Amino acid sequence: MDDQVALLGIRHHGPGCAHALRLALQQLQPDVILLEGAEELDSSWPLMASAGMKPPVAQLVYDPKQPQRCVIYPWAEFSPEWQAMRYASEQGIPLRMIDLPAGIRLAAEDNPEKADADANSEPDTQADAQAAATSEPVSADVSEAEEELAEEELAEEEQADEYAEPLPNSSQMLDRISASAGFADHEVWWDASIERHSGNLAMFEALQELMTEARNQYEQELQQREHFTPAQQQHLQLEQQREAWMRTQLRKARKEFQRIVVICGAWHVPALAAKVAVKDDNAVLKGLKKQKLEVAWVPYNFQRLSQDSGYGAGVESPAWYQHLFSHHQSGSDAEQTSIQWLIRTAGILRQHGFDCSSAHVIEAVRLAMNLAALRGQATPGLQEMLDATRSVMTEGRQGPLDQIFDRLVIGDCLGELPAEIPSLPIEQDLDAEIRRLRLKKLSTQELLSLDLRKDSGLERSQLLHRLQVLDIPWGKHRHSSGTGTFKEDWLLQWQPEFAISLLDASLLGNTVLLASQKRLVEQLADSQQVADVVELINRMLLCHLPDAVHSAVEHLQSIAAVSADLQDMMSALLPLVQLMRYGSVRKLDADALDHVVDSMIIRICNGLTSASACLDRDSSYRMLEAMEALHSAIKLLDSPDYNQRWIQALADVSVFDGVHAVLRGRSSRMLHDQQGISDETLNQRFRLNVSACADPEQAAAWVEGLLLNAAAAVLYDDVLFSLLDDWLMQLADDDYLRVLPMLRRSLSEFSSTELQQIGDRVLQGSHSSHDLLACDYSDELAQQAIATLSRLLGLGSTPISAATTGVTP
Amino acid sequence: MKEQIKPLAEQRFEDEIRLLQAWDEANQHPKPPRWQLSPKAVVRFICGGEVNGQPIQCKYFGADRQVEVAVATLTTDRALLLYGPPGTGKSTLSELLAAGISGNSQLIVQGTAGISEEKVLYEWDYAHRLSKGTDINALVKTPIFRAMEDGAIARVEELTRIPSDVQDALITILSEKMMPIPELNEVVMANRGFNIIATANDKDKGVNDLSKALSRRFNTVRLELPTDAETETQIVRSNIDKLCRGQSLPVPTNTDAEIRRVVKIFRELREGQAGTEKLEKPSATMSPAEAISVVSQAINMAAYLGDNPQIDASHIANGLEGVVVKEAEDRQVFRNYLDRVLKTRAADRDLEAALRAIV
Repeated sequence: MDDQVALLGIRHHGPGCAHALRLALQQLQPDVILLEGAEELDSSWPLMASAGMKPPVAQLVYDPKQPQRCVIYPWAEFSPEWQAMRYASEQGIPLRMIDLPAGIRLAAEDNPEKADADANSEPDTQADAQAAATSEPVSADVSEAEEELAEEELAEEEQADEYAEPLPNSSQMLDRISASAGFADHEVWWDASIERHSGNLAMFEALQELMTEARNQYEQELQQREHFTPAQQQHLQLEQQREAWMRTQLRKARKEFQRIVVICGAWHVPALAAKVAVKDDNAVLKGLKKQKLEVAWVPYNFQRLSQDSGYGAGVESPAWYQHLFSHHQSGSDAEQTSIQWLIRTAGILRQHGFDCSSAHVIEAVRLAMNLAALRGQATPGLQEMLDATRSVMTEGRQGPLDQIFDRLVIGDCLGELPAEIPSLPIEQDLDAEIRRLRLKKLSTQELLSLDLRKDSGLERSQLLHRLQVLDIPWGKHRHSSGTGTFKEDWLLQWQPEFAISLLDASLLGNTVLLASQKRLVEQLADSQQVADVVELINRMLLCHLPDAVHSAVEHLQSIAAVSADLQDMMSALLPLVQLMRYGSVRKLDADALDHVVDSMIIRICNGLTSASACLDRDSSYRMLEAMEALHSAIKLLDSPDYNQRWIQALADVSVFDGVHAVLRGRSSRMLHDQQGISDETLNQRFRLNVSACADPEQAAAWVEGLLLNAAAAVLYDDVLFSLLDDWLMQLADDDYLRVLPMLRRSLSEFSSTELQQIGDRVLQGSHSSHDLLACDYSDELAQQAIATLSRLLGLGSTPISAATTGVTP
Repeated sequence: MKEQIKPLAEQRFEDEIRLLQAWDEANQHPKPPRWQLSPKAVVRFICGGEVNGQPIQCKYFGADRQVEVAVATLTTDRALLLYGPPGTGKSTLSELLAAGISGNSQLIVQGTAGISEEKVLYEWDYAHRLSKGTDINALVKTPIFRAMEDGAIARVEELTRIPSDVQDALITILSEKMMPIPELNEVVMANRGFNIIATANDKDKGVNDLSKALSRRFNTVRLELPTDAETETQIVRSNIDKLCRGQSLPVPTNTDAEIRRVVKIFRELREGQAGTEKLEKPSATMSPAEAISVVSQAINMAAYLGDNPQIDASHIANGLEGVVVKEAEDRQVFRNYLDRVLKTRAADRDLEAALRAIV
């Protein structure tokens, strides 16, 4: 710009930029560095040089009253900002943070809508905290030092408002420039031409020229626009304020220092170089309110660096960037960098049990280099590495690559903080909650009895449940807390090691609420069993995390629709239906659940027969349990449509030959309970299944199914009683011994009173085989059949009286 | 006048190849030995675009990245294996690569279960051997043999159907770039420009997996089913046009709508998702090739058997059922799909009714 000031435009978290920056700083030998970072960081950044500090780490600028309102500045070793701070502390020169204070940005974010919502809610701080938690973007909006994120969110808002024409933005401008270089995507172009080179001071000069051109086009397009939505106006205004603020800081520094280096996002360079009158900048910055914020350091990891930031430009691939950065530092060429990366890839593949020889590495390097040449890039990038790996090392399969992706590309690097760094926002949040709920961290055991009907009881219970989710078992449950009961007993005891879990939790969120919510949502993503998800929903309700419940219900919907495990769904349905019944107390969205239940029942009922068929004995008994659970669930739901489907499914199962007898028996009984078949049909089936030609064991299993939970029927259904009696009486001794264990088991479910009553009835001898003969039958027709039978059996023509043969043929 | 059903790719796209050659020359694109086009031009030839203001037709949709890997592989001396479910255009791509690189796509060995080593390496002309003795002229050269001599691309179709011992005959050719002929105590050396493109599909049963030794000689490019509906519709549409032109049939006016519908149903079943609703997936592949056959069958039925030149839902339904229901369980899955998805879409009621009658 001039002799006094050098503007170095960078991309945040760009390894090429970071390396070039170090070289440029060594060449320029500045006596001050101005860095694009919130003013609040000014006092705390020098801690980065303390012993025991190991990146990735992050600085959190947060509102001490509501820690979830915060701006996060994550730093990795390959972040240019980190290298700048390191240079400053090594050389002992001052470094100033010159971006608009986060306090001003956050104060501006208090939009009128939210203020209304807060005013309407009860004067209850818990409710406030939750209202804030649900309007989550408060922190995300500014959680990045990266403009592109703000632009992305703006784009989302623009999409929501279909009439809004999107603003021109830096990505578009850069896309145009990269298109002229033959690249479809400016990210790929930037990566290929900036990050994969070890640039120097000249690179920054070229970049400034390029960005000036891009900014000119941008400003022109902006001027042609007439209409802006409020969100767009807000966005533009903030950008103006930030740049005006940075210019003001730069002017101040000019008066104090001789050789100034300014390090900021490349997009801002032209704006800082522009000549703007002091009074114009002052006008933009006039009357800005500032909120008092605090700063904390937190350990970070690559995983988080790749997730939270969520911006297109940057840390999708921290491990790759780390690799690039260290090779820039050691001065390796592209081939060496590729070789080392592919050796690392091969190593990880081997650890996962895939064959991968040195020959593979050689071929992969050649392919990656040729591919880069074909794509017009001087050196291979991550995409070329992955393409080559897939094609040469994993026989074209994506699966192994997916398996190692997290380790290979994201990496498992974990940051560390020195012990003397001040306490975390989540710790402060927990302490505040503990004070508010009048609890005490005691190292001795203490019994706490909570009445969930009172707010204080409910909120305490919610806090303890949330802490359990975060692996902080401060309270231990004394009784199983059925969600329907109003009493909960806890044993409280605070352990010092909870501090470690808290530190862990701080990565998930700044409040206990947010952190526990995030943890459960993460677990949710790993759950593929319907039953697990239902259990998670239960925990979320206990913790009172309505947002999480919402996404859990969506997740449930998606896995319930494809789960091949019908039994899992069947057994999960009952707890789910129970959740729905008391869910209204916990503000559960019952409509969404209705839909899930609906699709689950359709699938279960359509597939029940095939899922029940061809099972061995043990599997059949497991299926039986699942059917029991489902039956109760359907009874609870009591919907005519479900009943109808269930009856149809039972009707199919109960007569399907491939289904185990116990299931057929039980489904016949259920069918009868649901009025799907008449008494007469049930009795007919009984006779068919226990007839003498049936295998006694099969017969006993059928009877076992029929008698499950049916003590009352045995007692009061005369026909059934006599059928049962007759069957037992006609069994041969051997057969009787074979079926005895099964009979015992079916009867063991009955209560002792019921057994007593059945016993009494047997003793009364009220059974009578003649009852059955009392029905209409023609003696004449029977005689004809008997005559024929006798002849066939060679018994001569002596007529046999039907009465003497009894019922047993 | 007689017309070929399907002329070779190098004939069909003769003009484009000439255009690309001129482009290469003008820009001095580097060319590997014996390539008629530069790698860059080969990619452009297949993925389409523009050269000197003239359009180059896109011949293989939606897989530019894979095509680049394939071409880059052939610039090294590694062989290329195109691998993927049936109907994803592996043979088409192999033909285009050979036509673009060597200007000759006819050096094909069709892999079958009964193929012998002689069909892969060389055969003897026994009449010649008996009358004139065993010499080099008694050899019957296979396409691979010729490709080695000419420095051209040889194509092996359905590599995994070839018995393992015959497959392994390729190892020497691929690693040593030569073919020994012990009977003559001679060796045929491969000339520069020679390479092999093999295709294999991963859904067939009873295939012979490649030995580790052989698979190590190949770079594998997996071709997947199209990732977005637009590409898939495009693929089906361009093939239907071609087929109709070949049969001199008019394209019914509702063809586009029906293609879109079939593609949508295939994609929903393949991905197991309709809108936000998750679905079970049937075992069938349901590739673009099958979508093409469903629609073309419906067009043929409409043209030759129907009273109405329009495609009717019942014509589509017959083909659909045949493609989706391959195993007994698929029927259940398809029925669930009818119940949960098709029934809820007013525009698909006709198809749903037609399907319900047969599923």
